[in-house]
Amino acid sequence: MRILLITICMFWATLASALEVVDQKGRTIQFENPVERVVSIPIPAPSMFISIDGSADKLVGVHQLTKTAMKGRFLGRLFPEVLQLPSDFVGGGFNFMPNVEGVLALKPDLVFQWGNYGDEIFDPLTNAGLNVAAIMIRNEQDTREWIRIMSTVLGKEDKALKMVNWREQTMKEVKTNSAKIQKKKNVLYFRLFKNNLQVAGKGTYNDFYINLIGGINPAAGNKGFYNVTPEQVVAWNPDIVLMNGFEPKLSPKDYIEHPVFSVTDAALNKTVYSMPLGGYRWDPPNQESPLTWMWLGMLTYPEHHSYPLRDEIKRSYKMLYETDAADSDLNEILKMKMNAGSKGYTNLFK
Amino acid sequence: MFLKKLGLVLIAVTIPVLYITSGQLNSSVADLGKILVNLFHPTFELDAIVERVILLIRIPRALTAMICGAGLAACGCALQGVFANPLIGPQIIGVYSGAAFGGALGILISENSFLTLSLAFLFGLIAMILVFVVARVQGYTSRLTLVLAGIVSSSFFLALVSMVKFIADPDDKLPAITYWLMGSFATASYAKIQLVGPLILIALLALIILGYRIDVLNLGDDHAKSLGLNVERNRWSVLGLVTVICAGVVSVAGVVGWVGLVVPHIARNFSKSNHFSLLTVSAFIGAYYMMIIDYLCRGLSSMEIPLGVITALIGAPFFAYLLRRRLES
Repeated sequence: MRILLITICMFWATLASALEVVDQKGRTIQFENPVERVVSIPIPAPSMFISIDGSADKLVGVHQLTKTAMKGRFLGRLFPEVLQLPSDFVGGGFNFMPNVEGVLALKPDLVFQWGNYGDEIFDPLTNAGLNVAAIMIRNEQDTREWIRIMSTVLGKEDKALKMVNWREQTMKEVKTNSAKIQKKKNVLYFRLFKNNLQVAGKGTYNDFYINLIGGINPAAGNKGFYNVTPEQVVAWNPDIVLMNGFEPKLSPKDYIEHPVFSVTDAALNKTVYSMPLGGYRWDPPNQESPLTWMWLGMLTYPEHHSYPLRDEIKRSYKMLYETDAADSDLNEILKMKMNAGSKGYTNLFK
Repeated sequence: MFLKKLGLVLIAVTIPVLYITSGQLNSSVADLGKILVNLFHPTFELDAIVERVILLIRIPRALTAMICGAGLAACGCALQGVFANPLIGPQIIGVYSGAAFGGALGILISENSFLTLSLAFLFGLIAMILVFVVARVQGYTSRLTLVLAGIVSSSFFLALVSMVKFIADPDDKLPAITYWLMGSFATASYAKIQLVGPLILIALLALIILGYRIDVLNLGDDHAKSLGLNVERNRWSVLGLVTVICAGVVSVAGVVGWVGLVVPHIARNFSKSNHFSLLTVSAFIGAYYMMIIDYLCRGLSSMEIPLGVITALIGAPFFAYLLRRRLES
């Protein structure tokens, strides 16, 4: 009888201590032991994971392009060990199909995998008996879901609370400032520029923050990212142009000196800016998004949005990465050199 | 007869004028007239934006569409003649896939559009050489082995295209490659026309001149030989010219399907039965057909719709209609 009671107590104790998390597909994942080894297949996930954990110690495998995005950049310098992690369990490009044996060899307690690119890339991992958390990133709500899932797994709920509070407070402040804006400006974001022109339409995260800071997205007539003709861009004649942080070497000059766009208002006024790149690119949703909102607000309506951005970056990096960002880091993150020729940039962010 | 000719001339002038003066940005025929006058003698004050859109976007785009459309239509017509098969299109000889691989590779390794163009052209030629090596046995090439060699070459290069997509960065290179593979004149420029235009036009002219020989090849190898024609030399000459045109088109516009298959069938309604006439009419119709297609691509919405989508959406049902009509008659 005593043995039975002890067994029941142990069973309940195990259940009580088991970690449980619901992923973005609504699946419940249970862990019997603390999560110590994590493999990430989605490219931006490790930077969020590192920001919540404050270290990269638990990462045992990342996508090759995660390393490409970090190499030679702030986060790569801060956590150089990530650049040495194995990546050969998944292809180099738009290939999130894992080599399951390669993933198993890393003995992960948890694998992060995209939840919105089909079951073909997801099921092989679950079929192999691995713990897989499905993640998606499309909007602000998804970003907060990432924070919830990752902080639960890491047992860092306090950090998650700080991150979410920071987002909430910044959003509130930005919204208050935007409400005072009388004359709205057109802000156009180029998701691709070099080989073809792709803009961010309705429902994209870029559309969300353009509206948040009080701007108008001229490309909101269609949903998602889509290709446009140069003529359409000229017809929109945006006041502010944002160049993506994805295409290497893309700079405001590419727009300003473009044979056709050079006569548009943004080119003539030099209100063309390259999106910064910190712990991750500032264009898509990520752990540093509140900085994107402030940065864009200041550029578009400096008279309404006024924030001590450099101090904000330092403060948030201390909270996110537990490190002090140097002025040289800030210059690199804000792309001070590349944006030097753009209107007001140096004065606003020096 | 005179009225019919006048009507054709009016259509031939109206379509390019409409193409050049309409789009997302408002402009008028008067604007076009003023721009043309200014080119020779600066007289009028013009809106700088309208001037640049017409001069730097619409006119080079219209010229590129016309050159490519004429080239592709003539290629389809010549191949249908050489193979004596109305279901043949330029894709069949594998040049498209080779050029597609070259272009995709160019985008992957560089941001220089002229490198992309050069690699597309180069690999189009390499694909044709591969077909030549595989299909020519003991100095002779049969139609069947030629088609099979085309399939081999096509499959090989399509696999390489898949490999390029497999390793391309999903954040920047992959969308660019995917879009390029669907075809577009969005990046048309005078520089590209200067590079590829003369090649396509010279090859097109040579193809038209070879029209009478295609008539003989169309009769079958034995008949052609009995009429004293060097079948091998003439067939490979046609294929070589088709290769130059197709590789040139793919290098400036990406992969554009259906035009080479459909337009010759339309042309047969307006031309004499010899290939000199058929190639000429196909080239003209192809030029205008492509311009209309491209107008739909850039004018239907604020989105730039890939060419391949519209050519297939219009081409496939139209081809099915032609096929049924032919079977019924």
